[in-house]
Amino acid sequence: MSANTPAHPRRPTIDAEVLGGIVLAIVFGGAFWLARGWDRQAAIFPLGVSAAGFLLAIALTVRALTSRRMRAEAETPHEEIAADDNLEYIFQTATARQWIVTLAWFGGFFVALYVLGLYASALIFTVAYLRTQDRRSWLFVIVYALVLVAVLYGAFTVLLAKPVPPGFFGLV
Amino acid sequence: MLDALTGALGEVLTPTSLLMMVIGVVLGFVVGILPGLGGAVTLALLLPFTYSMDPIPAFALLLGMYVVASTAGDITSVLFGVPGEASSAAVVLDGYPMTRQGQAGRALGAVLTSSAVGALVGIVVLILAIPVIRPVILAIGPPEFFGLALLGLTFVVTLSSGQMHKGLLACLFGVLVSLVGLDPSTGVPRFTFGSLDLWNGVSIVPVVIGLFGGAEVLQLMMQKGSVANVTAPPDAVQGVKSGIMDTLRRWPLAVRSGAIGTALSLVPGMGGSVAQFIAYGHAKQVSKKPEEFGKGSVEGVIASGATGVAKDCGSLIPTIAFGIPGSASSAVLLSAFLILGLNPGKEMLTTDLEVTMSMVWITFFATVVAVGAALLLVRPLAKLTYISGPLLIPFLILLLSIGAYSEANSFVDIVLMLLFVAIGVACIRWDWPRVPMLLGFVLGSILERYLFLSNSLFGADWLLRPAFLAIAACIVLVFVSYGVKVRRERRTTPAPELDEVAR
Repeated sequence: MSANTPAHPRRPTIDAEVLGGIVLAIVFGGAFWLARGWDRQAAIFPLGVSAAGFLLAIALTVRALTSRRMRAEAETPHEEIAADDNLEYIFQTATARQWIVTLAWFGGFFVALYVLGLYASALIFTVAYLRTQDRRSWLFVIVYALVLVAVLYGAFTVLLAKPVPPGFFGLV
Repeated sequence: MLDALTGALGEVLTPTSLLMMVIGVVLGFVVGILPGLGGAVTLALLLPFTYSMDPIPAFALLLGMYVVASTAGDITSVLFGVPGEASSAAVVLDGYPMTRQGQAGRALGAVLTSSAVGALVGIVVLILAIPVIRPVILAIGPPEFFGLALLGLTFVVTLSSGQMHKGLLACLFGVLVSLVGLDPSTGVPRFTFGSLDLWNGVSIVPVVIGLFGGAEVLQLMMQKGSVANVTAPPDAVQGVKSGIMDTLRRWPLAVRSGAIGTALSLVPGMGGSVAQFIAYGHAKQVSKKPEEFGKGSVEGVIASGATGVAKDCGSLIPTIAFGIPGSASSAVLLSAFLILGLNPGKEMLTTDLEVTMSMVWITFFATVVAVGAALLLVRPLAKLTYISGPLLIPFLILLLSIGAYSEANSFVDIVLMLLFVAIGVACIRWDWPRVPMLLGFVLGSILERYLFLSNSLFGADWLLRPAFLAIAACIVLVFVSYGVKVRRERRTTPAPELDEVAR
């Protein structure tokens, strides 16, 4: 590879490292600002952590802005992406539609959980999700949903007597 | 002591004790597999059943459940990337990638065997520690505990995988999150934003489930395939034996990781969440193939799996010897001691030594039964990873929500879990390491607590204590060895690339 040829095409979007640095600088800066008002003993450790974080975040942002190319080559070659994140994840390549559909289902479940409680939302989500996303038959999804809810009810409410999310209307 | 050990074996092998242990093992499996249902909660739920029992059957029930939960927690970590227990989070890092490569059987074989090896190490340490532990523990004070926590934090260097700057930032963010809640010494609410729900701080369960499990569920929802990213060959779930052999071939790693788990759990408050990442970091540091970590390295699975039961044995030691619980679960166990009329401390090491030794045997038998049963179930369990993804989604999404909710029965924990799902996905999307964040989170409050205690008790003199200086030297050594490694790597980098880097 010639020295002038980039290893991989640059994205035309905002540099994620710059954005991450700015967001973290705001978070740490805000934390520092909040900690200033506390009792000295309660504040000293958070002040130290937030100050260190703020300075590091600023340093990362400045470095990302000034030596973008150097960073791209030296720190994040494709083979050396973070150790825990080196699987083939779909998040880098997913289309806008995939994101919207997935987040709608995911978020929809938690909204239903908040409003309807665990058992009702589990029943509705299972039937709706498997019918639309996996094209399963009505019989299959109803039996599947009922068994799932029955297992949950048996394990958490009957056996362990553990509270489960009751929902806004206290349906559980 | 030998008499007590053989006498205790006879007591443990009575039908009542064995029955209680089997019930405990079955419960432990359920508790371990369900995220959020931690050992401490279930131990507390089981306590009332032990009121009328003799001590040994009572501990057979409680300890049988307690030690098996750690082993079972690794199973969901490997199969679905959702840690069953907070102390199983590190198993996700390599266990789940192995599953996605169609090696679920091998990963489960390795993690279960390493859990058994770790348990053996913990048991041996428990037996050997009983006569000598008091002077050893009393020689270690808050400065040394602070030093150990700081040493744990230096593993960010290893766990950041070439992204030191980002790793340090993620780690500091984790430390910051750990400070949310009432300050333990002054009672000042910190970063609670006026919410009473945050006064108790952020629990580790929604953080772990969100950062790791949530991202995997979203991934499965988007790709719509099975968990295992390969077409299932007829022998797709074979490999259990090779997983077992992987661990047996790398027994020194499993033994060292078990020792790390046991030793760190001796320190009150450190617990398994810290030990697993330190063992993982150590394995990566000494590995000949560190680049495979995070992509499905069997060494990573072995190291994190070996700390499971070992850390339970470790936390039993200060509980028995001093009545100082090493973790939330051992705090509940401590109340069981008192309910059953046992006084932790000198009596447990003298007049009640047989009860203490029965715990050793219970831990041993419960682990053997649990690992044996789990190994028999590996094939059907591993087949789950070839089931259509959408079919698993309702089940997994329910696991996430119940897991997050069950810790404190609060919807706020579910909201926090969703926040960490977003952070976890953002980390994956933009190549930020997640593990240092979790390491910072588990060590943050420990660091602050022991720093405060060290200053209060010793002023600035604690910086000159010999044991602290020895730990400080280890910390310096970690950084020096990292620097040397980086320099060596730079020297071996081909010239053209160096040119590019220099520009």
